[in-house]
Amino acid sequence: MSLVMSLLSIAARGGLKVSFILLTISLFTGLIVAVQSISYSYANEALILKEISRSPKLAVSHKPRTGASLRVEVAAVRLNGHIVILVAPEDVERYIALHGSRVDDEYPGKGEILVGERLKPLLQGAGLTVQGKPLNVSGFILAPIHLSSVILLTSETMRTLGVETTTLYYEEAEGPGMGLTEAPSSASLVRTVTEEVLNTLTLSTLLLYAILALTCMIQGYNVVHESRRVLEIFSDLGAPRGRMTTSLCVASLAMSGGSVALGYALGITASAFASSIISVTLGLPYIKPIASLHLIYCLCLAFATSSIALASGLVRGYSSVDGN
Amino acid sequence: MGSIRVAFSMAFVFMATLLVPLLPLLINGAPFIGDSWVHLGLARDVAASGRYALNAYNERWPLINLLLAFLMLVTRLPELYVGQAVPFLAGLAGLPLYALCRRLGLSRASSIVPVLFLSFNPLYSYVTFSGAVMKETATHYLVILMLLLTVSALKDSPSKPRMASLFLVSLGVVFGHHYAGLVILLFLWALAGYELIGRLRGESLRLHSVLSTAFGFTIPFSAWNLLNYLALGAYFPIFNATDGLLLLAIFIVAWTSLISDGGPFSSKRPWLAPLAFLIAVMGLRGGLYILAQPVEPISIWEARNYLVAAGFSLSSLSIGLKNQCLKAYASAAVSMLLFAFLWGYTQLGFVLLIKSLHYFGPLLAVGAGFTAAALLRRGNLGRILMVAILLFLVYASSTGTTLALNGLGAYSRGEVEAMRSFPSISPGIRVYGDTRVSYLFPYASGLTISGLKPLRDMEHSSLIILLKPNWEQGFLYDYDWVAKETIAPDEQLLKRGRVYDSTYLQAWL
Repeated sequence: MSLVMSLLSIAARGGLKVSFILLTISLFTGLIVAVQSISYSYANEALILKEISRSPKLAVSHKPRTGASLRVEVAAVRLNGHIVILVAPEDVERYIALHGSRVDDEYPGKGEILVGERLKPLLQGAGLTVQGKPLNVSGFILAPIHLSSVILLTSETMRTLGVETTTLYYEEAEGPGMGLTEAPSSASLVRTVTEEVLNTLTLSTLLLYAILALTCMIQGYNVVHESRRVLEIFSDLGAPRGRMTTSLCVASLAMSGGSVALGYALGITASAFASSIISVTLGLPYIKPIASLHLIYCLCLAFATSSIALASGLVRGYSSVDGN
Repeated sequence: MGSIRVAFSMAFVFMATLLVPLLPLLINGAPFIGDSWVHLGLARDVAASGRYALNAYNERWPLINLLLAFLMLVTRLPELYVGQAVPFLAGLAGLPLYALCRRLGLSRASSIVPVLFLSFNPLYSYVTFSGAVMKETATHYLVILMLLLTVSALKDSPSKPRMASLFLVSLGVVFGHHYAGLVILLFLWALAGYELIGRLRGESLRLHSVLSTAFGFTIPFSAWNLLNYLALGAYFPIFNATDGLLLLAIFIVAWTSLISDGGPFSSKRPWLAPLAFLIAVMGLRGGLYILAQPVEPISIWEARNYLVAAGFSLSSLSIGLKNQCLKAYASAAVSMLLFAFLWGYTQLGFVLLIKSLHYFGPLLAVGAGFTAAALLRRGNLGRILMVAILLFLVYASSTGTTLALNGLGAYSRGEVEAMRSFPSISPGIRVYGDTRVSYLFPYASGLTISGLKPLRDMEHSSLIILLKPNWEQGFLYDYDWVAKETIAPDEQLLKRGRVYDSTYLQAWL
């Protein structure tokens, strides 16, 4: 460990010319992260466009449009400082079916409520106090996401709470409006174009990883040759070759780790600033770079590529220096 | 500068810095911002019952509530006056700031300047923060004290009493406010990072003490905030993983930008600090945020004020950044401001921007101290220039202070008295009012407000409470201004009966 610390200390003082390696890894990682994070953020929004362009399944209005409308009483209450929506349909089962919801356990009876999944932290044991009235929880709404902060109850229970409600009417939406058909459909077009763009970017990113690996390997080899006097001192002091090799590998891990972290920071900050400047100057919506598993995968790949390549370059360089 | 003149200036400056936070009480007779009533009410209940509960959000930050309750029990003074202990404490923050500047190597005369600059910064209205009886204000003194203790601990040998003091102050910050805690968390880890690099370069031997301080803060900070997160059910995605990663990314960039001592990207050229200043101006006056409140275009005179403030506070900041502690604080303060800007242009983003300015302010103030030191070295001309700039800054910041003291965030004694004498309302009648009313009403008369909606949507048997600024300036909806006509146009108001009328309060049924 002390050998690794010594190598890192020498690097920090400029004895090993590693600054260009660090810069290279940071810039490559930054480029990869910026491209990937911003493209995935925009793709995320594109998927919303797709959702919007899709025909609606549900129609909601203040007045019944047909005899098949489902009457729903809706109210907003404050629970622990958060606004929660209370929904009391005249037929709970139909309301659930209209939303295509998934429910865990039973539908609510009198004095019972069905609670959205996100509201679980508010539960007090098996119940929940709403407007000062304790109510039993009959089950949970698992999906869709827009019902995850909703409390579903019967109209009878809603009346006992004494809250001010708004009446809405739900029904299944009619088919595509005006009978228009699209060829190709805008939804599939958005999806296909987005996937194509992401696939192309993935290919370009893989190319960047390959260049990063090559650059790290060559720079690692060159750094050892440039700093041969420093490494020769270690050899003269009797540092075992095996330990020296291991130390170079550990040092390359540390350097890659630091550089990838900096690259990640540069990539995220640059893409956020770019989107912000576009938003301010062109009036387009500001898209924040999103955190995703894909981003973590990109960082892991950048770290693995650069550390392995750098370690190989350093070790190969050290072998050639030590062999002379 | 002669020692008598310095002592005289010091006395004047400290008087001014103590006075500014007390302006809301001295001019209007009541503290600033609605949060004040929540904490005064909580402290009153704690003092009366002798029990402290940790249920609601505002109870989860016991520093201010217990401080006020303690003072109420000890002094037996009216709550309104006891509450002024918090703005007074904010004014007292000038003392550790002065000591901090002295520790950073500034002369006695130069160290007075940051104290003055903190209170008279034209970038934002300091009084809106320091004049409030709220969590952040109560923690402000501890934040500056924490900086001072860290600088002292690193400059001298870190003795056990000093580390114990640091730990105690850390706990105060943790129980004071989460935003202040986050700033200190970033500051301590930035410092640990710089110390690690210093250790590798063979320049520093204080890594262990910095790491113990960082861990000593991080563990209670994480535990307390995690507990609050779980207990309060903070499940709504206000701050999610994306925001966490964005903050981390900005922090790494800000930290790295100051790591080197030479070159274009180094502490000699701290380019992120001017960028943060520019962003703050754009955020405040650029109309970037989606707010109901119209933003007047920036005038050439305001631009001049900002330019002078930026020039005075940033031109010599790089000299101060030779100190690792200030470098670490700069990383944290700049990160928080940039993060607030990149968080999004919503109302909450704007609130974050304002909050971040409270921690960017001390950095600018210290920077101003170093510019003052440079000016003082230039003889009489430098001294005259410095005094002229300081007088100009006092004048430039007075516009914001005056606007704030007459704005919707301020309360007046008349409003408080009117609320207190408001008759009790029959149960079953809904009472509506804006954010100002919804904070003051529960404190003064124990009734709850059902929020605010346009008059046409209110039930006929409901009551709407208007305070004087409502019919003069408009309504405050959350933190946003809404025109009077949007909520209560005169023709609709006149359809209702005025059941209560005083100079400061009207109730319409």
